[in-house]
Amino acid sequence: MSEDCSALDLAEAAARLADGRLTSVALTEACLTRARTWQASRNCFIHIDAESALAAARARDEEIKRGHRRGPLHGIPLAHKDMFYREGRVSTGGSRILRDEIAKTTATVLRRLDAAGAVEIGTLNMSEFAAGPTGHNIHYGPCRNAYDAAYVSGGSSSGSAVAVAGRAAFGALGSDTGASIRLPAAYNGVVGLKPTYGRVSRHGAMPRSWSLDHVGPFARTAWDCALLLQAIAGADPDDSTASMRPVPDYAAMLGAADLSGLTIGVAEHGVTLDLDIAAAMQASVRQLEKLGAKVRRIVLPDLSAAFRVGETIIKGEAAAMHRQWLETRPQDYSNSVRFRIEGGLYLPATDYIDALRLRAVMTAQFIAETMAGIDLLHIPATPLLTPTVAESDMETKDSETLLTLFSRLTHFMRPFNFFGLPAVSVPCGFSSAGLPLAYQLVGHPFSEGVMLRAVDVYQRATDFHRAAPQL
Amino acid sequence: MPNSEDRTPADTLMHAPGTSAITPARVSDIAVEVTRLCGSVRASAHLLAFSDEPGDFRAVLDRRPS
Repeated sequence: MSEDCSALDLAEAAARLADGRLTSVALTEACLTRARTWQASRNCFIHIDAESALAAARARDEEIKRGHRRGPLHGIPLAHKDMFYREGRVSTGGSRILRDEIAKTTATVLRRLDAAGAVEIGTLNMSEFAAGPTGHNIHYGPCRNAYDAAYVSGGSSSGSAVAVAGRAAFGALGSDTGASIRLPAAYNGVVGLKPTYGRVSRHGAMPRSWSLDHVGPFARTAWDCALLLQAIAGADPDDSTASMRPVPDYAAMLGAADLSGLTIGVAEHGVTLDLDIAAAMQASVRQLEKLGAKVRRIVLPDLSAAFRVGETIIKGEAAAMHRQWLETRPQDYSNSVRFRIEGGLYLPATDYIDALRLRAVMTAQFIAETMAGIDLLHIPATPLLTPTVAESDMETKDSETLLTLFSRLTHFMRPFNFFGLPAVSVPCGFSSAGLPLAYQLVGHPFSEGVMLRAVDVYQRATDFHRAAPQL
Repeated sequence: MPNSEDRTPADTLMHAPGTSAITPARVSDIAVEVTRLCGSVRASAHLLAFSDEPGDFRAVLDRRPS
């Protein structure tokens, strides 16, 4: 990809495809070149499929020549976490167990992106079975941070964040059960959106926890996220948890001059932040206020109950789905993933069911009390700076110490999977080590458009998302 | 492993499907973990009413129009 081309956002690339200044083949070749380069040092892909991608790009270009452009994703190269099934293709889920498993169905989100004309250039690295916040993977190798290969990428959608940050794809899909879109997005300086539970179909996405899994996009801008979300959101007869609510026109909600009319609650959480993170949080709040948002301080309730009750749901569901393989193929799991699942085998059913019942009660309480009178909640993405790959490897370090670290890394994220509320990770600066920092915005149910509007205005006033990591 | 007729309730639990690869050394860690998880749920259980059910969660999300 030429330097100019690599600097394009998805929306800009779409505009140039639409008016003939660029072809899908040119964009796809450029992304493939970058994908190979970045793969060598960051290991963000599990499989790069150049032949199939170029064939799809040629077909999209032929359609444009015939005057048929499907929409803004027509001919745009994307890549996705290797857990979205495509019929006839292997989806590894980052695991050894599924290494040769050929999918019998195609994920709804892939079918929708295909229908929108997107080009898929490959499948992206991820934590084994989408379990793990760092991006380590003993089967396919760790995915490394886009800004510095000594540091973790974040997980579990590790490759999704790194490929988008590295300009190897204009957007990507990931999944988020406890932080798995937002944490890697934060660590790699891209936007990562976890939609409301039920906004996006999970059909054909490898499960981690049926109740807490959310599928969502990564991109470099809010606008690009809006285009991706538009394509994948909506009811799905193949997923009973997908909401029947109409999908708004997200792009039409963007482009506002300022944030007037929006009230943002700034969380007073009582958690000690790294100094670089604390400074970036304060600066981002000042910027949002300067852009016209009304800022209100909110005392955040203790989220540890939501964190732990949600963990009970994850463990119970993961143990149920993995039980057979734990019995027959325990040696094919990494220690870290097997350890995370095993506890669920001993959970009483009554506690698991009570955890699900509590979800409704505690979510209603959070919305009524904490979200009352505000449109969005501003909260750090994580209280800790990015760990190195070496210091956070659970296969070689004391597991209890690292599980405590992982809990702290995801402290501000996991409760919003439990509540099912939409949340987005927004780049807002760099640490003294030169690594990206981010804040989160959390919205009311199905308020993705409001969130994206705020991020769009913020990004047009700042340039953190324009920074491009160098190899 | 004792015959199924000789098993105590604890034996039965420790030989539940999926647990055969769990080493004795891991059992104490798992017990701590399960106690912690169940403890969190039970500490919040006073919030539950008799008629609360898991499906209420979807209704909560749909309650507020955006």
